[in-house]
Amino acid sequence: MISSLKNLSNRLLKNRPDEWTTRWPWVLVIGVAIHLVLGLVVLATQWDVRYETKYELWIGLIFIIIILGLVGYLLFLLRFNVFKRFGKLSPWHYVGTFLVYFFTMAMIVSWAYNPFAVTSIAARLKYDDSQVAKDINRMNVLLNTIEYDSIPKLWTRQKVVLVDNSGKQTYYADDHYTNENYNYNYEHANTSIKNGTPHNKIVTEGYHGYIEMRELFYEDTRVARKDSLKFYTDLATDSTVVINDSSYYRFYGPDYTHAGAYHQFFNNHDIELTDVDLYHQFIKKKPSIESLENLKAELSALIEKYSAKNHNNRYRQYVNGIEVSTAAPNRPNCPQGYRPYLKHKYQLNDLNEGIKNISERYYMWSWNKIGFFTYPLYYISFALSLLLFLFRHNRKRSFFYTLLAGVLLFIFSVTILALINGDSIFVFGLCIVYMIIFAVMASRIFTAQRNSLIQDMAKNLFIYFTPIVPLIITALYYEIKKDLFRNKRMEGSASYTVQYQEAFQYESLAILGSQILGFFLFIVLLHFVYSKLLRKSYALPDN
Amino acid sequence: MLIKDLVPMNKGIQEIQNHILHEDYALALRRLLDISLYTNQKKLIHESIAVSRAYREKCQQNELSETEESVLLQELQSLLPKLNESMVQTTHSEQKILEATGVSKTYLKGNFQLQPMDLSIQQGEVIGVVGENGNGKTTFLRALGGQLALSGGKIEYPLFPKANLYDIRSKIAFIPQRIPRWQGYLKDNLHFSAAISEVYGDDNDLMVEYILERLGLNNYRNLRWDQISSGYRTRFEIARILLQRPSLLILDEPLANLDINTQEIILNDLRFMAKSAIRPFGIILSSQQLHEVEKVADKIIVLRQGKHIHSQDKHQKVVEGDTQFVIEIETKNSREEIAAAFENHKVRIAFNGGFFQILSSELAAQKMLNIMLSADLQLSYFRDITFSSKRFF
Repeated sequence: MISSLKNLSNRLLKNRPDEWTTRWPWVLVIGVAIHLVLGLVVLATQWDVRYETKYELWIGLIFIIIILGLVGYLLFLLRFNVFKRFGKLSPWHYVGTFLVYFFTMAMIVSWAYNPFAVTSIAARLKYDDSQVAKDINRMNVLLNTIEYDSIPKLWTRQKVVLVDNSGKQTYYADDHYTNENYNYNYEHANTSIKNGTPHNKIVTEGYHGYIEMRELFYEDTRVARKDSLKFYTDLATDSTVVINDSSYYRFYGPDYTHAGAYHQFFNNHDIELTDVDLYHQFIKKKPSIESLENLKAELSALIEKYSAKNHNNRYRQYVNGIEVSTAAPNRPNCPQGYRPYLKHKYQLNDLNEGIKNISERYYMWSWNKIGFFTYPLYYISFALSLLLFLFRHNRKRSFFYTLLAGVLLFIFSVTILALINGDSIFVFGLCIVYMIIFAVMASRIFTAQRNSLIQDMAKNLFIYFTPIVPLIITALYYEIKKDLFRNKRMEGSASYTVQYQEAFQYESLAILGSQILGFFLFIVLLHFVYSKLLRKSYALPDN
Repeated sequence: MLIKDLVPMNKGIQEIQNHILHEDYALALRRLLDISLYTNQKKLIHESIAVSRAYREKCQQNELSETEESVLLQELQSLLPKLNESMVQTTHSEQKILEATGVSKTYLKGNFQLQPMDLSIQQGEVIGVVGENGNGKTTFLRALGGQLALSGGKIEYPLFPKANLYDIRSKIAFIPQRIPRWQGYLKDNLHFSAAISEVYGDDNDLMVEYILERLGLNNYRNLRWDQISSGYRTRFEIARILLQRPSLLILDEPLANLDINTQEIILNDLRFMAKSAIRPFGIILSSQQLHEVEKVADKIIVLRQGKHIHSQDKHQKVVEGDTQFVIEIETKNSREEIAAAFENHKVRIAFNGGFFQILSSELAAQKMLNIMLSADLQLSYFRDITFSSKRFF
């Protein structure tokens, strides 16, 4: 292995010196080796994926390894430099070298993702998501069946009163509200819907942004603010009864889903048994039980399979130092107490902690979470590789003065921002002004007769921030648009939220696109413009 | 027009045979390596390297035995006809590399000023820049090498009419007085230098082997910078630069760390390589070793306080009417005894602490020597410095 690596390195040295200086084969092999070692350590200590992993501690440890790796890599990069030796450079030297640095940096930074990846692999090796979904459903069925006598069957009615806050003065229709806690059976709710006002007649005009409403919440009266769109979406469910244009009854059934966390396992394969499903299939009509003991044994085995037993998980709730699940263990017939009772009896906190941990690991790399991993990896690798690239294509003095200038400029900008209380438009505008100044100063290198530290710094800062220029411009555009939108009088019947969403429906896409554009813009400029700028700047005589 | 001093191929072979005749095998092998490179045939270069290496290794172990000597001679004799047949007859037109006009430099801080100077150098030419410390040699060389911005004047590079500044600097190699530290193994640095000059693969190996053998550095190839002396560092730096195939080589005090023998060998080798028939290049070097530099340089430039005070062209040593003849001697005799020897002639005698300088407008050096020998002066050293820059020191 080592000899093969040396042979490859030797071949690169004699045939592709600019590639050889990047030491990518060594970074690749050492990077993979560290991944393997780390993976084995993580796997050995975190194999049981039911239990929580202290990722922050792992990242702290790996951060130290990353720093050591970066320092070691930089020491090697001090050794040979084709560019600084005025060697013969291929036209693709700049883009190629940068991309190699980008991938070597990504390799080093990716060590931080090792515990996430390894625990995810472990979860996928040990569990099948379809089976987990079936088991969760089965546990809920068993729990409700075994504890049939302890669980409540009546539904709760909540009266919701909308409050017009379109003007500055806010008022509440207190007289329509009741503190009484109603329990209704499901049929009542269903019948009411049939006789109620059709939902499409709900008048939405006049309610801007957030809707303030009063609702019953744990036997207490409070004002809640809800997003208007979400509220109207909720109204479209079959458990809402419209009283008039601003008053509604919402019916809530008791919780029958005791096992399961975030229901992620139902995404792909199986249909989750909801509270209503459970109510209809197993509670509305009392199920006949042949052998309670068999059911208990089956439940016990399933709980054993998924439970993070005796684990001091973060989902345990404490009141005055006593865990909630043990605070009311003897109130099986009380509607408010059945869940703590079940939690205590079946150690549901441990069970749900186990399921949650399994599901988190299992779906760690799902598309909706991909940004969480890719953005830090991309931006940290990009920032480091660009720093490295500039270091390798600059006089040392220019590079370190550029770092200093960057820090000073940041302090200066923040001070200005604080003094004039600037908003995001000011920040983005300032960035663009800086970039224009840097561009003008850097362009003078093409006609310069001698090296200038100021021009070198401007050139470096301009190159460094090129990839985010499209992002800054896009963000500035949307900030200005939002500013104008806020000051615009609402027109038509659509709510503020709907209009806002229509106006800014492509914002996320534009932001993503601008980041991708930034990358390619940088690559194109690097190949056609920055390569010449760097060569000229480095070749200029000193003063 | 052809370069005057280019070594013709057959002349090179004759030179090798001449060295063999005088049993100067080391020099013969060095020239053999040079000539083998001119053939541009890898096989012959390999064979020449092998012969040279075998000889060197045997010499390192002990004195060359008669049998070994005879084997070496056989190998050499078998190689020479092959080399002769494979020689590439090339004729290079004389091309100017650099032309500096009115080059001057004033530093923002300090009082030193480099006065306006002109200089041009052609392929195969060696120019020596001499002067006392702090008189502007390094400044001048750095300005010529494109490292230092000029305060006045201009430098043109006729050999690279369309090249940009970066490409021009890649063709001008500068070896500073204090050589920057090398990192890693010495041989890796040499392979790297060859590779960045587009010498790839097997050619890269061959050229590194060649230069290591040619400069006698083979035993040190696997060492690191800290493990070799300052003299070898200079030699490795020269090897590295030569692998980069410069068009102009600028050396700032290259002899400072070299012993007497190595100084002469390196200078003669550099001169020989600069006048290569295959790839000639120019050399500008500064040094305090006046005699050694004068021996190899085609032109000497003397600087004093940043001013160009004298130029001496090797090919223009003609006696003019107002020539002041100058000799330098070392003797145990006193100034009075020397003056007595020249009592019938108009001479001026100066003593600089180590040597006597005798200046005369009427007596040529040979005559002055005869007079001193006739007067039975005990001379331990004599040198005619009439055409040497030593006169200015």
